[in-house]
Amino acid sequence: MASGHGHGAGFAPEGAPIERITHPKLALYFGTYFALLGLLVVTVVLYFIDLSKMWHWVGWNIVIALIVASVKAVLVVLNFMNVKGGTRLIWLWAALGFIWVLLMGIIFLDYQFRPDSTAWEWQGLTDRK
Amino acid sequence: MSLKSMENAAVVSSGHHMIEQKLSVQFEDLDQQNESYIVGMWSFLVTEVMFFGALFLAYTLYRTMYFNTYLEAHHFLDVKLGTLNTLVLLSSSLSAALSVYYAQHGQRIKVVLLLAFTCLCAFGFMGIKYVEYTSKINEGLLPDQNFNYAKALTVFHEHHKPAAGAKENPRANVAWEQLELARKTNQVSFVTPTDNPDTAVVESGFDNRVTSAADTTARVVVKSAARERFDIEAGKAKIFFSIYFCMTGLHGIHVIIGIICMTTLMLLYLLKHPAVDDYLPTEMVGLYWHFVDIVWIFLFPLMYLIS
Repeated sequence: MASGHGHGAGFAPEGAPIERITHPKLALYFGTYFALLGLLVVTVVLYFIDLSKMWHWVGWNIVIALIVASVKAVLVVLNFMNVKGGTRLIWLWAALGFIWVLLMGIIFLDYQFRPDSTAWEWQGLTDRK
Repeated sequence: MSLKSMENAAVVSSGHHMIEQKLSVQFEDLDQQNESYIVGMWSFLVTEVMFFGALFLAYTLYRTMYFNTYLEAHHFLDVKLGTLNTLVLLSSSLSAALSVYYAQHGQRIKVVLLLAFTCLCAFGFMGIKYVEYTSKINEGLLPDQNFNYAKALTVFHEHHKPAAGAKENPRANVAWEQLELARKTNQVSFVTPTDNPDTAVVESGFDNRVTSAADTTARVVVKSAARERFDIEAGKAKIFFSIYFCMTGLHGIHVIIGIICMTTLMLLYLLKHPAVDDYLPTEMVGLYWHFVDIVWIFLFPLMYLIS
């Protein structure tokens, strides 16, 4: 991969390395597909197992389900969408949207520290009476 | 001299693709041109992530607020159909990726066949969604004025009696408990039996359309505490189904747009249009389709697999 100036040969010094998009082989596509199917099975099996009995917190199932979903999404982005073979600019652009979604989570700080607790009822992490 | 003729004059072999790409005048070389196309498509996809992100945020917010309600209401979604739909979409993603591969190698027939398979999967997905939506609407779970959670819960518990001795998750039965309590205290407005089998099934259920019911219908004058609590639970469930229909509906619209794009692409290939001499149109549609797949990858566990 390139270093120094990125793409745009016209603006780079003479002889500067140019970033190229590389394309994967067919085997990678099939490998990714079967990995995704495997993770789909994991997702569905996870639904029928109550992890809160083992680890004493009701949130484990959703946390692990989201990790599995994220791994699936990363597999699709890297291999199917070929960000893996992309240039650094493509990497940056692909990451941007997902970073934005994570940033939106900051809104929960607002709800967490809002003095009027009646406006927002947290059922998730406390035991039901 | 027109732009088009300039473009034709600058045919450059890329060297690392099997098909020859044409270099447009505004680009230095093919690497820059390809990168620009793909970054442009990703810019669009970033706006799409933001678009869906807002809905995912709403989902997360209400899930933490109405945790128990989500747990109870998600039982109305069919895990089997959801899994099948995920399988269908993953397969269509594979064929979309393969069509890009063959577009790079100039094998047009394979590209068209793979795009056709992707389209078929997309139609399959929409077909399954149609079945799901129809059953939700019949159960009275479409969050409009006919939303009837009591009817839906009654029918659901008639068909899904828990096994003897099996302990039900109390978190997932808040609304049902209140509904039972309300029935015991007779705080129930009975639906008049009619020829309509739908209403006959829910004879002992609530009719949320009391105002439009006939005068023979017994009416609740004062709501019991249980009935009050049930109504609050039903309102929360309505929010769950609003979010469900919004998110899966928006995703469904994206699937339909994908079908239109892929059909157009297939036509261009069949007409041997110069636009598809390059593999990039296929790559763009592929990127879009994979994005639709990613949205579903998150929607499936979040909607169908709440535990």
